[in-house]
Amino acid sequence: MLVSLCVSASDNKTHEVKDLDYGVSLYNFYQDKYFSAITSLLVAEHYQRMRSGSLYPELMLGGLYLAYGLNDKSAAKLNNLIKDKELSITAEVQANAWYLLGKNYYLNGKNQQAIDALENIQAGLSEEYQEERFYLLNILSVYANNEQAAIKYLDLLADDSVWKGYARFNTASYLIRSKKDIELGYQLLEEISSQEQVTGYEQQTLKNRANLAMGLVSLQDSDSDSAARFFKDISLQSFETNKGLLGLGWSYYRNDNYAEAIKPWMSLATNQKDSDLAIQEALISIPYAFEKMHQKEHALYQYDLALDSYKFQLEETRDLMEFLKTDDFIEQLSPGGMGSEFVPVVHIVENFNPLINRYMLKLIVSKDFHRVVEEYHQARYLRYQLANWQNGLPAMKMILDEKRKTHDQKLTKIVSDDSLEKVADLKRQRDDFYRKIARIEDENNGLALMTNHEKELMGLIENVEKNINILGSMNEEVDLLMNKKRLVYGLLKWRLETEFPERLWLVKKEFGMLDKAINEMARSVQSLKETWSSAPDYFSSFDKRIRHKAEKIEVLKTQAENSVAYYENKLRNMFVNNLKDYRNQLKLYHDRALYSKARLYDSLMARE
Amino acid sequence: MKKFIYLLLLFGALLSGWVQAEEGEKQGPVIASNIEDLKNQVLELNRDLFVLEEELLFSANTQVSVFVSVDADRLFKLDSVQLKIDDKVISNHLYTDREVEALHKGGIQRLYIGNLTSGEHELVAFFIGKGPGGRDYKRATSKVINKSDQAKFVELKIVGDTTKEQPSFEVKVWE
Repeated sequence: MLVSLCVSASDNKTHEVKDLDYGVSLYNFYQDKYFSAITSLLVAEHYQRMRSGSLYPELMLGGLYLAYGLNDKSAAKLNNLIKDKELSITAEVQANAWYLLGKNYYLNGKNQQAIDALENIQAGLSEEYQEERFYLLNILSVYANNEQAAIKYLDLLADDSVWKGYARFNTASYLIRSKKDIELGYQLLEEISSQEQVTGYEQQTLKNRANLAMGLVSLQDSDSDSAARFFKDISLQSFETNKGLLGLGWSYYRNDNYAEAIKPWMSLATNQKDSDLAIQEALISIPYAFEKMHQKEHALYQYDLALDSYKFQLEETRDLMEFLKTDDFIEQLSPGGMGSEFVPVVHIVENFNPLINRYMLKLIVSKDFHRVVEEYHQARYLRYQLANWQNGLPAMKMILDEKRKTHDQKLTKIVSDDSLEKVADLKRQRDDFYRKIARIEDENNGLALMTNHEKELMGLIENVEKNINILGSMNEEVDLLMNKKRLVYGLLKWRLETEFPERLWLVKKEFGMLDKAINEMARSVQSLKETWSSAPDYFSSFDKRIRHKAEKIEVLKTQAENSVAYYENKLRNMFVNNLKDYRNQLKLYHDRALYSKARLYDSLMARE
Repeated sequence: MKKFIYLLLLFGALLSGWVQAEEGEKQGPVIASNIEDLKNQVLELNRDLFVLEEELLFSANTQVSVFVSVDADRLFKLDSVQLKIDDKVISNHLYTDREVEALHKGGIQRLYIGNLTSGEHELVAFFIGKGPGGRDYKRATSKVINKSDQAKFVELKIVGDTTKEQPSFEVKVWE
């Protein structure tokens, strides 16, 4: 992983999910699938699905752009986060944004900007990143030829920090190489090499490297005893072992102790499966030592062994060179099929022709190879993704056509439905009703709000009155009836008048509900009409989008194809050139051995 | 030899920053601008196509998405998940080690996206994996979800119950 993102689900052991899409992006990021991780965030951004208001998704996007090699986009995003959100940003997010920005500039060689960004961090950075920050500032100070700052940041690193070892080594190398403070440089290297307890490969390798450097420096200073001491301290199973054994031999050789010198070289020479140049050097150094010991027959025998080894390797590397020019080599760079977004380098190496692992180990563990092969797989994945979408677009188009067909069929049914016309009629009736209520209210007409029962009662009263009128005022009984009728009528009228406001309120309430229902219906009809009218645009906009994307895919596919070819070519050249260099070295050793053998023959012949 | 190469690869990557410093090289990946531009364009296109696909195939009024998250520390190692809606299997997923690791670190997997009609639906998820002590573990959890005219997001949560030293399985519906 090139860049850590300074983000996690949470600081705690448990993860509280605040935004699902942020979690989805993290899921992809943790699998080194930067392309998918960025896409998840961009889609979530489009739909505004990040509801927590946290700025971590934005910070993560900035970091992901950086990890994916989109440095300008990353810098723009992080700068924007720092500047625009200055008021709302937390110290933690701000510190992490500055940190990522600093790292971005560092990776782009913008050293002064990197220093400025990293020095801007006040608080909020986790201890782990704080240590890396000091390390970066140390190395940037070295680049800036500022030894005082380099030493200042070295001192700020915690003693148990893994970064301290690197910073010590870098500072020491710089101080010695620049001759600014050779004594301090040595002292720093001594601090690393004299570490009694080392844990882990990183510290062990640093110690080995320091011992190797000190040993070489001592050899240059003709201090062979010290050199031998440093070389002996290099562990026997490391990347530096071969150089250490070679150096140890030379330390003895310089002291004229040829018999001892041969021992580590012999040990190297027996390790023929490795193609390290230190071994090739040892092969030719052994007969030199025998010559010095006046064991010329032995020397001759060793020259023959060296020559056999060189010849064998030259033949093998010639075959390997032919292999590198074939398509099989390119195929071996991509195990696991086309659709793999992330291919671990170790899988590629496992898949390699064994000769590549034997002769090109230095190249395949180099940062350059890792970077180029990662970019190659990114380009392949882009090509795959484009092809995938290209295959998927016809299906999308088919679904769109199907939707349009269904829509058209439904439309025909709906258009011929009479119920749509009833809406206008209902609205008319509603308006009449509204006017009627207004009139009743104006006239304060309680009789207009009678119930059916009351209407029947009123009719009865009116009938009674008619009948009384027919009878006329004949006797007391009729008068009594007339009084009763008046009483009932009065009671009814009184009730209607007193209950009028309440009845009117109830009528209005019901009217309101009716009004709401009619409006709802009208809205639905309106929405239906809008859908009718907008449907052609809706479908044609999808049509356009699909067509436009298809055209774009076509253009980008060619570019992706070119990128893949570019990286294949680049990787092939890397391997071919590396192998050429190795073969040239082998040829030199071969010629030297051949010359020395001839010289030795001559001297033996002369002796005879 | 294989082990040695593996260690070198691992170690080479860890030491990358230091190696640069030692060699005094100009740091940083040198990417041809047209390739950076290509990446950018494909990313934008990818986003647009995902949006297009979602709008066309999974409109909000029918859309339902199901996610998986793990907050169980090391109490449960997920091997596979099967998802059923209304007694119909709609998704099966077998997890790789990298995916399990990503879930344990706090990543969330989008297991399924599809369409459902409005109304009630029964969702059942079966989790298969290794429980405490490396024992085989199979559990199911279910929930009736009510699909409205808004997109529905459902999270299947595997949560560690440290007091019982057992994982538990929950369904959370996001509003």
